[in-house]
Amino acid sequence: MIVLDRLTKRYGNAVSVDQLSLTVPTGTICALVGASGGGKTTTLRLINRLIEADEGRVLIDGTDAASLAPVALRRRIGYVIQSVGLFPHWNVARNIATVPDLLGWKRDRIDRRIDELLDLVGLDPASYRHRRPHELSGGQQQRVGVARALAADPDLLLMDEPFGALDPVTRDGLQAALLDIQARTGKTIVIVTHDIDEAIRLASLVAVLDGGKLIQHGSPHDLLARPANAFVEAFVGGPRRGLRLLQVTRVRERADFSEPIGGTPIDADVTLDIALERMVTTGAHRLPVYDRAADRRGTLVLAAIASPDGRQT
Amino acid sequence: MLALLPYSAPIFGWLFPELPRPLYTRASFLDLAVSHAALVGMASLVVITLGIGIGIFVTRPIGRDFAGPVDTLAAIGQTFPPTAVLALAVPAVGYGSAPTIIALIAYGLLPVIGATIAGLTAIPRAPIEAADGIGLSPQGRLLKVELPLAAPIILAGVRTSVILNIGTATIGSTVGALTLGSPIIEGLSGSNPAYVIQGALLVGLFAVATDLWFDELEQVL
Repeated sequence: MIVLDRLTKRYGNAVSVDQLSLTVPTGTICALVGASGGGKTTTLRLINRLIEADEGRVLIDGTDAASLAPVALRRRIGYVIQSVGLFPHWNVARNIATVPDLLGWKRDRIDRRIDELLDLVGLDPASYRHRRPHELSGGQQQRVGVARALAADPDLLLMDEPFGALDPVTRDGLQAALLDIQARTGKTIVIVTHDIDEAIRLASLVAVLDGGKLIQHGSPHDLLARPANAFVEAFVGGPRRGLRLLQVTRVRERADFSEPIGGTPIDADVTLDIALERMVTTGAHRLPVYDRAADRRGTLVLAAIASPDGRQT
Repeated sequence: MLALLPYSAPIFGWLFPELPRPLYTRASFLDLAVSHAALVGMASLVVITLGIGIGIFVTRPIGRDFAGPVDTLAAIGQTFPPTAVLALAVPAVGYGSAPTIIALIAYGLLPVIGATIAGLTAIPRAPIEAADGIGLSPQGRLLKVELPLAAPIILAGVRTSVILNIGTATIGSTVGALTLGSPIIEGLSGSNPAYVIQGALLVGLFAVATDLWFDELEQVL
């Protein structure tokens, strides 16, 4: 668990991060979102002490980060940046091995770890181990960047707009890979992004920062359904907010399980945007629903998609 | 060339029939070349160590304030004529190799310092940021990331410096150092163009050979 406790960072008279308190439970993905200059990156760098806080504390699993040597602290925390920053004079394997090398791991353990990580990030070890960074595409470089960050098996991964420089298709692939990696490893991940769709897709906890202050935090659904102020409302989508809300709400929450209907059912765990899409393309006002977990059948009607929970008050 | 030149007396006698002694014989060409190489080698060793060291220092946070003054000082070292350095050094350390080495160091430092600073500051931000972020210590970052990435530029500076000093070392002969400049100086003062050609030929070849060797070295890196 990561606890940010009244973190403050000033540059001269300007306050970059202002009394920011936030708790990220173990094993969750937390997205720091907001406009440029809102203090997202500064907050991230305060966690691994690339920037030292003026006030406040960072507790990582109960240990005050300030009590560790910065270099030792950073070796325990994975770090991924937008510009990737692979070392151009080393091949992929050596890049990934950087931190295990520093930690003095045995050669064969490092070699096994490199193969394991390349598999995890979706690159074939045999063909990628010995390549140089310049021989890789942007997306492949960032996959290696993620592998390098995970090399020493840190519990915490910090990512600063990791997919911001990639084209939409590549970004989509890497987001899927990250979700998969998180599901398989249970890492705690703090990711900075200015892309609200990325935050909605990846994070279970979204923290909106503006002017160095934490404006609102909660699940994507909370933020979309109940934005705390105009800034959050504008940030989470303005006119597209309702559509995004569909992306974070499951069919299960709107289906009526008292009167099932026939036909090919839609899974209760898919989100409403997919159900709506199916209604539009098939011209149906109601869909049969199957809830696998509870083994029950039900119905989703068009009117339920716009039910009170999704409405602004 | 070094082996053949001692037998070239007939050629120079034919080229310059008016000269009574067409071939420089006061010291063997081999001795001159070895002594010349030793002077340049010693000076370059100091230049490389000191130059790269200073270049690293002024690009670290603690040394950043010194970057300006060091730059100026190194520039003065190079604009100051080596002959003047010799003249100033002789009263302090006497005649011979010592003042020559001092002049060569002063003259050769600028390219190495300049190249080291240029090389270290030209490294892209991303690997540096990543190195810090994943937990390399400042020394680790310097040795594993910065110096290897800056190496080609630093090497180019070292190359310039060494080649420059192979030529400059000839003036050491004016203060009694044994160099390939000895025949040149003696030829000039004794109106013996054959001596000048013999000395210049060997210095030129030495410089070209060294330059080619640096080419090989750059290929390896």
